[in-house]
Amino acid sequence: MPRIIFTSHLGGIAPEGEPEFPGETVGEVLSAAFAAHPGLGHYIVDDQGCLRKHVIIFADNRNLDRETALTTAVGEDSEVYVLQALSGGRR
Amino acid sequence: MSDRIVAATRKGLFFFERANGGWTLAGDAFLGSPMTYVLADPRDGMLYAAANLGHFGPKLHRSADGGKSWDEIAMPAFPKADAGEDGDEAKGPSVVQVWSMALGAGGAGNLWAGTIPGGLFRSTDGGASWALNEPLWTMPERERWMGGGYDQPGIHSLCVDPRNDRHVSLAVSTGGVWRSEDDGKSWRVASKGLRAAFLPPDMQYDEIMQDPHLMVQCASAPDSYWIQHHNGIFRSTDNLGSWQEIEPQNCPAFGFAVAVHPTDPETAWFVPAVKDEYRYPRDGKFVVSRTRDGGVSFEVIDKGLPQVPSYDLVYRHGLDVDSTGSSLVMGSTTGGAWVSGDGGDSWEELPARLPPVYAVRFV
Repeated sequence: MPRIIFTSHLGGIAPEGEPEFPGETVGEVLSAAFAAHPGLGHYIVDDQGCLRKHVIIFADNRNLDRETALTTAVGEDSEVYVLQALSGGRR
Repeated sequence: MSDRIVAATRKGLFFFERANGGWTLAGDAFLGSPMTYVLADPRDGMLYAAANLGHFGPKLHRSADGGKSWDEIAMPAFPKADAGEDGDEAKGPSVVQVWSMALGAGGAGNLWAGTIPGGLFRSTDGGASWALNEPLWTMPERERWMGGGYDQPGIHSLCVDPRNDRHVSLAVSTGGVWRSEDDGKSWRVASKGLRAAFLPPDMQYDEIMQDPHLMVQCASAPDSYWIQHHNGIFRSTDNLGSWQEIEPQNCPAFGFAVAVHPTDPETAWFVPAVKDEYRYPRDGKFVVSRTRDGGVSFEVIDKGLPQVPSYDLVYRHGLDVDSTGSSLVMGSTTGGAWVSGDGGDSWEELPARLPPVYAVRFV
């Protein structure tokens, strides 16, 4: 099952470690994580379910394009990193 | 007289308390997080705080113990848009920031929240859930609202009439003033007389093209409203039937903040700045302006304010007056914060150098 690693900035909100969630796309894996951790989803996606502008996702060491990140296919051994983009660090 | 202040800043909430005649920093919350608004609900003692996290979006929190401990509550959210006709994914709106909050009719737990991009939301359960006010969002005129200060329009002012809490008025940057007399079921524009000098001549009084920076309502004379507008100062004394432009002779008319005396509609405070593409205190001299005669004349007050060149700017929610009208507080974009205990005659600096201040409130 794909594993997700959330940024430590989401401590107390996202699960720690490298938890596994089912899914064949990044979006499906994230949805499973959101279902298991109510309140987490809104930190990662906006009202329309789109990836937030200043969140960045890496899958299998590939920096995913924001527009297509959630539909990117993942495999049984995939590692998905959900991180803050440096573009949003100005505050 | 209020003895407690909360400042919402770019790096958290800061609480000040008055004891033995002086103010001290008495606590903080959300250190490091940008906090954009605070609202106290005296009906149940709840304190609400809005955050706008740089990476992870806007958030809302609630405290039942005056700010010692907090619970995250639901964020207002726009309904998911339908897919386009060709199967294209539609990109509907998403809340960027909670820009204003107010107490709604129906008792404790009833709240309004105004957001960027121009959505008005209602909660009946203390922020556990929110519903978009569809009548305002779906009215055709809303499509003429524009961004003002932010890329998208936003509702920054919410006035609930103390005589009848189903009468709600709001102000939009940029979109003018809107009025409901049925608790939000229907809305009409209420910007007659507001003027935007920077527009083409024939459009300067267009009621929707106005950019009120903040609108406030006098608690004991609720037919009286004041606006600090992008274009100057305006006043309504006929319950939003019309607005009159006021042109101070001895200080700039530009600014963001305004506070009206709770028992004297003739008295209001402003923090003037050079208009509108510059936005700094004239001659580097940071002052408060006050009228006590409904805008016929203004006093320019600097007692207790910095005597060195100062380039502080006070944003729209960065000035507050308490329920007696004797205490005022303001916080600036460069982290200065001052309090007055004599109706603005003199000011003293709060004992902290703060991050940039977005909002201050007596709580």
